[in-house]
Amino acid sequence: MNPLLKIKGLKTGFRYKKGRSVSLHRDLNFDLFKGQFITVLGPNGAGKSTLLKTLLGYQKALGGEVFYGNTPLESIPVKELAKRTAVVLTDKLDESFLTVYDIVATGRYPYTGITGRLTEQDDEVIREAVAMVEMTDFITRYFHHLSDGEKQKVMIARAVAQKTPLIILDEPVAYVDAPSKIEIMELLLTLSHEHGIGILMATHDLEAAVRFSDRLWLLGSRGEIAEGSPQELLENGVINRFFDKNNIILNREKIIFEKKLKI
Amino acid sequence: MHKQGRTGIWFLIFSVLTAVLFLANLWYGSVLISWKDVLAVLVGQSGEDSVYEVIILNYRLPQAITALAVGIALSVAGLVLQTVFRNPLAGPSVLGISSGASLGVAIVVSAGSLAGLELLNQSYLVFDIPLVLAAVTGSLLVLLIIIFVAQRISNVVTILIIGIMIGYTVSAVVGVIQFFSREEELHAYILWGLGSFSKTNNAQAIFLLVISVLLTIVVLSYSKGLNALLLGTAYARSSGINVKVTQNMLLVVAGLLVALGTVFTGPVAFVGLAVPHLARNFFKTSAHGLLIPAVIVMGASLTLACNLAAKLPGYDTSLPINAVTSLIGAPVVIWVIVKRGKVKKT
Amino acid sequence: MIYPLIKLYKMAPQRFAYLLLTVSILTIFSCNPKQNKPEIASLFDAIPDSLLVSKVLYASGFDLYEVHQIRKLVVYHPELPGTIIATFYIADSSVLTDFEVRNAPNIIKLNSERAAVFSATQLNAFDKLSLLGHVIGITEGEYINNRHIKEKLEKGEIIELGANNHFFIEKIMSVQPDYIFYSPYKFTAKHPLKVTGIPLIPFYDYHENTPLGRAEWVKFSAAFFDGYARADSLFKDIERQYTTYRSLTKDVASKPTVFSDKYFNGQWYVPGGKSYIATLFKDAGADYLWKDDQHTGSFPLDYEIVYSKAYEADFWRIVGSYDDIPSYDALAEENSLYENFKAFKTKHVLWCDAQKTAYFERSSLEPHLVLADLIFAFHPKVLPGYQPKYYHILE
Repeated sequence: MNPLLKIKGLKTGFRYKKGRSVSLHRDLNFDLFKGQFITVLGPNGAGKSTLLKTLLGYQKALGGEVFYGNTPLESIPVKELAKRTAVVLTDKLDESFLTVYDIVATGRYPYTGITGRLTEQDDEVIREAVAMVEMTDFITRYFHHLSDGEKQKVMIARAVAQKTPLIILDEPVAYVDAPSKIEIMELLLTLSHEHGIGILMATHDLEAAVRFSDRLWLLGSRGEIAEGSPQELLENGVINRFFDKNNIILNREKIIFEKKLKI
Repeated sequence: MHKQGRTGIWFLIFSVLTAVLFLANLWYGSVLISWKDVLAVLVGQSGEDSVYEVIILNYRLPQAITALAVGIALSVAGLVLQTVFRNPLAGPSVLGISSGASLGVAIVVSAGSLAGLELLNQSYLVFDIPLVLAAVTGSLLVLLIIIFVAQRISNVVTILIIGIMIGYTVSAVVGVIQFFSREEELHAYILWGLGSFSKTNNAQAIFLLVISVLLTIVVLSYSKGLNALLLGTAYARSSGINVKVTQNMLLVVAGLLVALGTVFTGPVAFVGLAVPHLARNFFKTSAHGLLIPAVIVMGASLTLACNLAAKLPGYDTSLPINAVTSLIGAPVVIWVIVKRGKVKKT
Repeated sequence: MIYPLIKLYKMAPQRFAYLLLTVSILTIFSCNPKQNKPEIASLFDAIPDSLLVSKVLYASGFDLYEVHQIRKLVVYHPELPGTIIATFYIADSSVLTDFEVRNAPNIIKLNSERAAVFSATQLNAFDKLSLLGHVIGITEGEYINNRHIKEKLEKGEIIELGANNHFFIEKIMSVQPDYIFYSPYKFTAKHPLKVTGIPLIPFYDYHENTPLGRAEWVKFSAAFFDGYARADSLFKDIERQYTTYRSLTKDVASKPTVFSDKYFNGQWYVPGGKSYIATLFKDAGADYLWKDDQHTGSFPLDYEIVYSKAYEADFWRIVGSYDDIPSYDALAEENSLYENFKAFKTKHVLWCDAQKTAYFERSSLEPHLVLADLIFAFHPKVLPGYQPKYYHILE
């Protein structure tokens, strides 16, 4: 089976003027298959966002290739890419009179004509997406009147309405209260396992990642890379290597961080 | 779609208002003409060599059409600028774009007068191509500078301040040109700066209206892109919008609209800044498919109302347009700032 | 007053003594017993009003008296009748030695060779009076339509001291003219030339609303030099010709209607009923449509008002500025609304090419010719064979 997303020998980083460049991770090789829930996990500043930006074409890779299906990223025009992957970010929206419906509707833009007029079918897709995130009661509310958790759910609905085989999320639960966090993670799990959508999520939230993901792509702050299922990586201590800091270690059973006990 | 009821009603109200104000502009002026006579002229039965016919068809009508065109052009331009720069205080004058158009005009007029032409002293600028080109060039140049800056600095407040500074710089250059002008040129230029809808004939007014409408249709075709831009460049791109191309196209169109709304009439203050806010708050929407038509009917109503007020019906003289638009526009701007302040506190 | 002094004495007796001494010395020195020269002003004050006859008959902006070879020039505020804004005493230096002239900027030596003249109409008067040799500086020289002045500018005998609304202050101060004739715009604000410290003499013939009054300002210029009689006879000649021409239209049967000027940037500036041109229209036997208006200058009206009043007027007077093209086509192109006036349709536009005729510079000293031009246009039969100088009917 062909992966939805194939990363081959990718080198992420920044390119400055006069040819200078700083690389964060080299020789990344990952695959994401249909229906998989994969988390890019790593400490803050490791380069997770950079990887996502590179995958979305916002930033140029320093080397290597990215494939959506069989097509290399560079040859996919913006509008076409929008049909292959949807995105959920942490960007804050300006205050405006846009309603929940309006926001989710923008997810249909890759499929609408020049004027952006929505067909009945589009309308159905939008309402279904909103129902899936359980925000139907809020559909006519102004977006900026919602709480952070509700806003995030709306952005996910938007991604769902875009009906792409892959959804990429950058820290979707970072600024969200605990109950909403679980809600969102469960939702992502449903989307991947029940609806076959590939989910690629970047986070530093270890617990969420380990509990819900099928596989983890670990990115360390010094360029280290690891890949595997959460079980594997916990058992063979790889996660500890990436995350443990001086006196604070990961308790593998409870999956929480705690102070090292002096035995 | 939801909300269509409310939007529909307001749209109807303002469309009717626009039509009524348009007719009122034909009805009223310094000379009091009875409604019977006005009707006779409009229907074409006013007799030969009618004084009223000349006044209504050759003086008031082009004014009304020009006001209509400029109201549409500047309001749409203001909306586009506010969306692209994601800032409620963006507008043709605030970003220095209308100053750029004025500078273009000032340069051409001074150069022309050195060559022995009195361009501004002409009451009518008969398809005055050099002047229109100069205004367009001036406004686009300023726009280019702003775009250049905007691509390097992401902070919109910074961009706005730079736009204001550009506006001041351009005004200063214009000031220097004026300082070395002759008495008559200076007077002509100052009067031009006060804005007037009565400097065009019917042909020019219709030209203005047609081009404004065409450019507005272009903007309408970008409704999708404009809505997406409201989400920020990252989300817009993820919706399949080519952000750079969209932004640049929109800014060029905005520049053209501002130039059009400036060259024949002088700079008209506040319309581009205030009307989008009024439209958003009356129609309670930020969706551009609805907002653009809203801005059109409200902008047209506003300029037609201002022209009517400026005419001081019953009095022998009239006020400059900018005085009236500023009196209305400034409170709107203040209200916007206060409102934003209130929301931030909660 | 005394109490603080006593306090001071008690507190510091030495300092008090020094203070007293200083005050005494200052008092002695400011009283100048040596001064025994009379002041000119008192000379004139002593003369009874009935014996002081002004040489000015028509102009309301100034009065000129002459007593014992001293001329007193009184300049009035143009808008506040009777209010004096400046007084000057002009006499030959031999006469002035008898008087107290220290610290008196309004006492002028006759026949200065270093006068600065900033008004184009006044320069024209100087030319007519052959006084250009006395002029050292002017402004806006490029716009002055006078051969003699242009020559002198080239030779450096006359220096450019200003251009386009601003003055070259430092140059003026280095050239040091004896005095400057300037044209005040506002009469309350401090004029920018004051900073030069050079005596300023206000000259504003343009505020006179009567043609003869305006022409009479030739006497103002002449008052500062020898040969006043020249100005006197020149004016008498103007007066005679003017009144002669005016009498030609006293009994005309019908008066054609006339209106003036053009629509300009949203305003139509219409000459007031008491303005200079209104007087000329009246004297030329025309019916000026705003003759009952009270303005002495031009005032703005909306196009509609002008059109509804003047659409049937017989004549339309236009003074074309420096690059107006004198043709009906050009007028129509400038503003298609112009075509609707009867005066346009019947080709009765009375046009003055200001540039070619140097109208603004010269016409103030030739009101009789301006009047004759207008009479010839309005009532051609009264002046058969006349060749107009300033105003022509546009072909």
